[in-house]
Amino acid sequence: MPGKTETDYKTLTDEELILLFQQEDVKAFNELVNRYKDRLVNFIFRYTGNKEESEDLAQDTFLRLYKSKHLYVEIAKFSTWFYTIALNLTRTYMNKKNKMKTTSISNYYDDEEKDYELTSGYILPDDSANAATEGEIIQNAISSLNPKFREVIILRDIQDLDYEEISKITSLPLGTVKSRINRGRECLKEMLESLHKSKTKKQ
Amino acid sequence: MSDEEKYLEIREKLKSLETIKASSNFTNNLHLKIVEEEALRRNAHIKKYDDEKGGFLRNFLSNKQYPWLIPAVGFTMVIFFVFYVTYVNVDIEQLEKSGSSNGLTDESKTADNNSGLKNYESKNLSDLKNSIDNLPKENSENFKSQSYTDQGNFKGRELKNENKNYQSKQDLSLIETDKPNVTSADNKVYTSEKTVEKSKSVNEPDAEDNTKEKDMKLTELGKSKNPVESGTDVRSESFLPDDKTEKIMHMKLDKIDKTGLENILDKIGR
Repeated sequence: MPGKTETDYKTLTDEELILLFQQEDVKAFNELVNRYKDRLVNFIFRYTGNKEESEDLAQDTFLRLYKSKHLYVEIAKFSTWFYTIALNLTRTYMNKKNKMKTTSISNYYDDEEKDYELTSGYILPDDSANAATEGEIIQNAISSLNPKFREVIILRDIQDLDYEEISKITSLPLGTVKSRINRGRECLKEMLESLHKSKTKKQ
Repeated sequence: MSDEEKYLEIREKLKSLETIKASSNFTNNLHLKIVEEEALRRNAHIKKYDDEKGGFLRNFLSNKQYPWLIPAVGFTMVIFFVFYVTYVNVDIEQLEKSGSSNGLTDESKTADNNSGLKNYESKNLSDLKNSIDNLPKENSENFKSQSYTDQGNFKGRELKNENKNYQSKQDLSLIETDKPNVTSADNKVYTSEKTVEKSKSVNEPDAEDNTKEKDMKLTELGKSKNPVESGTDVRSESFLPDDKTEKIMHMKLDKIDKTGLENILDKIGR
């Protein structure tokens, strides 16, 4: 919109900004980037556990928004639509990554009786016991969670979205979302307790 | 006790986690990615446009808007082909046949024209002979004797050369222009005409001297170039046409051919 200052853009809602961007207003897009870049990077980082990957994926999400701006319809909240894009991209990326990094040791050591299937994407709680800070411990615990619990817990307890919005983002019924959140919290609690116990034993 | 209160401790731990912020060059990198994407899209569009451009046949065959166009064009082409084979070829054959028949008629026409020409020549010759016959007897005798000596002692070509000299002096040129394609017989007639003219100008002294001198010359030449000695026939020599007559003959033949061709064209037109 010509003649608008930066402060004007800051007062606008997300939905108004995306509508402006649909009219080829690049400043509206820049405002959306400023508003969501940290939140998005944080969300993806908690999902992947890697800062560089999270930044790349966040940029890809904004790029998708740039290309597919005309697909947004005003009936939904912008944040819901945007998180859906981010979650889908992150899921796709993690699936590809897991497929690539899953290696069968039995292919190289046929003589041995053991048949390990190691997945490098997840950090085992025992390995994370040596982590320096509590934040890293929690992050390792989150990363080791089942993806279907992980994504709902991040959206609810880290991104602070309500149940309905999470339900829309994940395309799951509200009850399923709530149960998954509770089950995820339970798993996380157990993991963190076991980590604390092992830590105290070592000390 | 609600679920939120049950997991309050874990919730607080998760909320207390440090918020990961985007790096300072995040926006720049994002804009670079956007620019690259735009360039890729542009190139892809250009490539797609170039591919779609194709040739005439490709565009024509891949015409999804009017799919009925292809069989329609094919059908019309077949109809045109059949029309060409049935009608146009037959017309050409007919024209060729008619052209050949016209050629024959033209040949006959040219033959007729030639016969007409001969009639004209013979008519002129008869007129000349009549004029000779009407002349006084002495002159006619002179003419006869002269013509005899011409035929007996001289070659036709030499005689012609002599005739040319006479032409400059007398009105023979008129006769020649009236009858351009005269044969050897005409030459003889010309010579006799000259003698006639000579006989007319007997009263003039200069003319008489000239004729005498020329007669002397002719007799001398006749002695030296006797047809028996030279081994050539006067008539065969006299049949050779000179340059003027040859040209005129060619012109006439051209005229005849043109008229014949015009007739052929007219018949083709009909």
